Amino acid sequence: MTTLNRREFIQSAGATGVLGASSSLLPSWMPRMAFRDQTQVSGNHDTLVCIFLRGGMDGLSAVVPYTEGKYYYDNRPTTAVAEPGSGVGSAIDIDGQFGFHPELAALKDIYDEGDLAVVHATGLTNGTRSHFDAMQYMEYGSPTDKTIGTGWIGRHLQSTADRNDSPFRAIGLGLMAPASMRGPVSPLAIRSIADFHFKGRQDELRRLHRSLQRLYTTDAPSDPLGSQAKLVFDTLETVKQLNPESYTGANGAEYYEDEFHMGLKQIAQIAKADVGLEVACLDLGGWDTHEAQGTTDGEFNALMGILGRGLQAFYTDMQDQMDNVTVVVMSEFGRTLVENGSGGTDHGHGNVMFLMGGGVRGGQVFAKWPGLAPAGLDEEGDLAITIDYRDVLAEVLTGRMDSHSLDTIFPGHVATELGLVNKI
Amino acid sequence: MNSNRRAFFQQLARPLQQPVENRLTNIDPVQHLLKRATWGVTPDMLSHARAIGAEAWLEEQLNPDALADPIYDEKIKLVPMWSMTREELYASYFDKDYEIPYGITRGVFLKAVYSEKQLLGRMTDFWRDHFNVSDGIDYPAELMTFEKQVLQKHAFGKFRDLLIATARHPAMLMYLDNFVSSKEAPNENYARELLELHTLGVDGPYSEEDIREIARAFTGWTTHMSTKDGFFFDEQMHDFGRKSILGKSFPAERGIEDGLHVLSLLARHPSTARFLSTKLCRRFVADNPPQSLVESTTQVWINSDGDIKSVLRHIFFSAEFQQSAGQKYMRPFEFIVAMFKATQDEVTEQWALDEILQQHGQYPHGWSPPNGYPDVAGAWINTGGLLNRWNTAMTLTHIAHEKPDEGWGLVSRIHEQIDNPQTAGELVDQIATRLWGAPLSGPARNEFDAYASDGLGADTPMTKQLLSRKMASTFGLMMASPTFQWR
Repeated sequence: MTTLNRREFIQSAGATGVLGASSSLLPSWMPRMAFRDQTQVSGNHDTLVCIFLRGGMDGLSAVVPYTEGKYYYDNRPTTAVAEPGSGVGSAIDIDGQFGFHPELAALKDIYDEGDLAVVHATGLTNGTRSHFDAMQYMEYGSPTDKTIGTGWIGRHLQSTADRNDSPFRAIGLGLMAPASMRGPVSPLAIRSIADFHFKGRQDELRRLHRSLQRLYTTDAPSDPLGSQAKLVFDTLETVKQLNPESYTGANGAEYYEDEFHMGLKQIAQIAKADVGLEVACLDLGGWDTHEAQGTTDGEFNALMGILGRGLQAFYTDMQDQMDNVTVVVMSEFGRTLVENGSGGTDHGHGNVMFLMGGGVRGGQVFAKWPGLAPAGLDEEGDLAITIDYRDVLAEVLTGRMDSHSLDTIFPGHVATELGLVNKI
Repeated sequence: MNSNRRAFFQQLARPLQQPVENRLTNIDPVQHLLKRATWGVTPDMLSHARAIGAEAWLEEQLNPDALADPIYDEKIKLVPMWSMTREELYASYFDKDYEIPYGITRGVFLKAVYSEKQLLGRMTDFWRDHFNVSDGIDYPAELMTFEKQVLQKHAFGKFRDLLIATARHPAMLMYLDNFVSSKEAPNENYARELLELHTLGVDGPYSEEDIREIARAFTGWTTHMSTKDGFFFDEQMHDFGRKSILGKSFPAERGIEDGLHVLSLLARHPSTARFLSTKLCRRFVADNPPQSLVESTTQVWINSDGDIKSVLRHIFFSAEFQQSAGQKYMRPFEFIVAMFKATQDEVTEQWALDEILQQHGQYPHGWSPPNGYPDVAGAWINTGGLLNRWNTAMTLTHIAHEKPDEGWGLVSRIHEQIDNPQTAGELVDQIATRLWGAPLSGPARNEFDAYASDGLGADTPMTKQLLSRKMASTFGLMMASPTFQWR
C-alpha cells in the first residue's frame, strides 16, 4: 500500500465523504464537482448574495450625512433624519460624519464587528433618472450598451462556467430572476423551495414526468424552455432531499414572514445545504417614495426596518459561514436632495451601497464624499457620484469570487480598487 | 353523450382532415391569426373564421359593438360591479372597496374566456399594460371606471383620445401623484412616465428640463369627488407662467390648455408613432419584431393619425406577421385563460382564480411599477414559472373535480370535451382540437400518442380503463407541453 501525502489524503477523504453521502443526499451532478481535478479548480470563493432595492432607495435617509447641516436639513423639511443624540428617531452615529437610519439599528453591531461596510456617493454614472433604464444599465453592468443582453452576474457565471453545474448555482428568489443574472448559465428562479414539487395523478406521475422530459428535450441547447425544463427536473431531485419545511434559522435568528425575509431564509438554507450555490439574488421593492416619505413613520421607515432586520437575521443565521459569504445591497439611484411638495423625494442620483460579510473590511464608510453644498452636487442638484458602482462590484468579484474576467463582466470599465474586501 | 355533441364533433371532422404542424411549418394562416388575436382558438371560432375569411373575421372583431355576446353577458352577471356607474360603485362598495380589484380580475377573466369580443379583450390588455395603474391606489373603484371608460372604450379608437382619457382619469392622477402636483410643489412623476412610458419612449427626444416643464403644465390636474368623471382642473394649483416644452414656447396665462397642448404634441409626435408601433408589433408579432414591419407600421400610424384599427389591420395582414407563427411565449394570464377555454372548467370560488393567477404572477393591475407587465419571453421563462405551468395544467384536469363541492373552487368540465374516442390517437386529436382548434402533427403529437397508449401507439384501442387513467392526464400533459406554451 502506498502512502498518501497530505493533499491526496484530504482529497480522498473528501471524496469518500461525498461519495458516502451521494447515494442518499446528493443528486447526479454533484460527483462531477467533487471529483474535479483539484489543480483545475480556480480557488475558493464566497457565496454572493445580491440584494436590489427597487424603486430608488433614499440613501440620504439610510446613511445620513448629518454633518452637512443646513445643506441637508434645509432641503429636507419633512424627510431628514435628525442628528444623532437628538432624541427619539435620531440617526445612529457610525463615524462622526454619517449616521444610520434608526431602523438600521440592528446593523450597527455588525458594522462595529467589522463585517459591514458602507459605500456612499456611489451609483450608475450614466445620468438616467428612469427606473427602468437605470436598473437595466446597472444590472447589465454596462452604462452605455442596452443591447448587451446579458447581466453582470450572468457573465461572471459564464466566465467561471467550469466551476459547477448545479441547478442551485445561481438562484433568483421570486417569480423572475433579475436581469443581472441573464446569460447562458440559467439561473434558478424560485419563490419557495418548499412548494417545489410536481403535481398530478399519482399512478401516472412517473410516466408524465418522463413524457415531459422527452417533450422538453431539444437538440438546440439555446432553446430557453429546454434548459429551464432541465433545471426543473434537476431541482425537483434536490429539493426532495433538502426537506425545506424543517428548516429553522440557526443561533436564534428571527426572520419575519414577509417575502424578503423568507427569501433570505431560503438563501441561508440553500447555502448551508452545500448544493453548489454561488450567487443568489433577492429584491426588496417599494422605495419610490414620491409622496409622504416620512422619517420615522411611513413607508420608508417600514422598509428600512424590513431591510435592517432581514440582514441581521441572515447574519445571525449564517454566523458560522459568514466568512464565506458576501452580501451586496444596491439600488438603481438615490433620490433628490431637495424634497418635493408632496413630502416625498423624486428620482435622484448618488446613493449608498452596503457590503456585509466576513471578508468585508467593515466598520467604515468608503466615500470620496462630494458634500451637499451646491458646488459638490451633480448637474441636477443632487448627490454626485464619485465612486462608480462597478468599482464596488468588481472588487467583490476579484477579491471574493475569484473572478479573472472583469474585462467581459464590465466591458470598457477600468476598475479602481477601494480596499473594500480582504482577498480570499 | 348527447346527439348534438356528436353532430358537433362530426362537423369538426371536416376541417380536421388537414392537421397542422403547430410550430413553424405548414402554418394555417387563419389559425395563426386567431392564436394571436384571441385568448385561445376554439373549434367553433376557427370554423367560423374559415367560413367567412380572415379579413371579414378581423373586421367583425374590430367592430365589437355589432357582435352578439350572449354567454359573456350571462356570465358577467356574477360580478355586478361591471354594470355599475361610478356613483353606484362608490355607493355599493364604500365599506368594502378592497373587493373591487378581485371583481375586476374576475370580469377580465370571464371576458377573455367567454366573450365573442376576443380582440377587444386582447387590445384592452395591451393598453392596461401600456397605461399601467396598480391596485395599490387609494380608490380602487377608479380601476373599474378606468377599465371600462378609458381602456375598453378607446381600445380601437384614436390614440390621442385614449391618451387624454388616461391623463384626466382619477386612477392615473392618483397612481402617478399628479393629483397633488401644484404650482408651489410640482410633482414630476406623471410628466416623466408620460414621456418615457406613454408616448415618446425613453429614447425621447426629451430632457430633464422638459420633464420639469411638463410637470408645471399639468399642475392643477387633480381629482374631485363631485365632478362627473372625478377629474377636476384646480386653477388655484395651476402654474400659469410661461413654459418651454420640447422646443415649443407655451405662453403665460393658459390653464388646462397647457396640459391638453402637451398631450396633443406628444400624441402626434413621430417618436410616439414609432414607440407604440414597436410595442404593438412586439405584442402581436414577435419579441424582436422585424425592423421592416416596425417601419411600415409607424408609417400607417402617422398617416392614420394614430388610428388603432388601421394599425392592427396592417400588422395582422403583413407578410412579417404570417411568418411569425409559434414565436410568442404565452404570458401567464394568456396561458391560464387558454387552459380554461380549452377545458371549459369553471371557477366557482373567486379565491381559486386569484390563487392561480397570483401563483403565476400576473393578474390585472397586479404590476406595481408603471411600465406594465413585460411582454417578452425572456422575462417569463424561468424554472419556478415552468413548474407552476405544469402543475396548474394538472390541477385543471386531474385535480379539479366534476362536483363543485370538493373544495377546489373549480369544477372540471373536461369529460364533456371528450367524445368517446376509439383509439389513443383519437383522444389526442380531440384534445388538440380543444387546445388549438384542430389536430396536431409532428414529434410532439407522437409523444402524446405514446403517453396516451402507454407506448403502444396511436391505434391502441381506448378501453374504458385506459380512458379513465389517461383522459385527464393526457389533457394535462398536452397543456403542459412546450407546444402549448407558444402561440
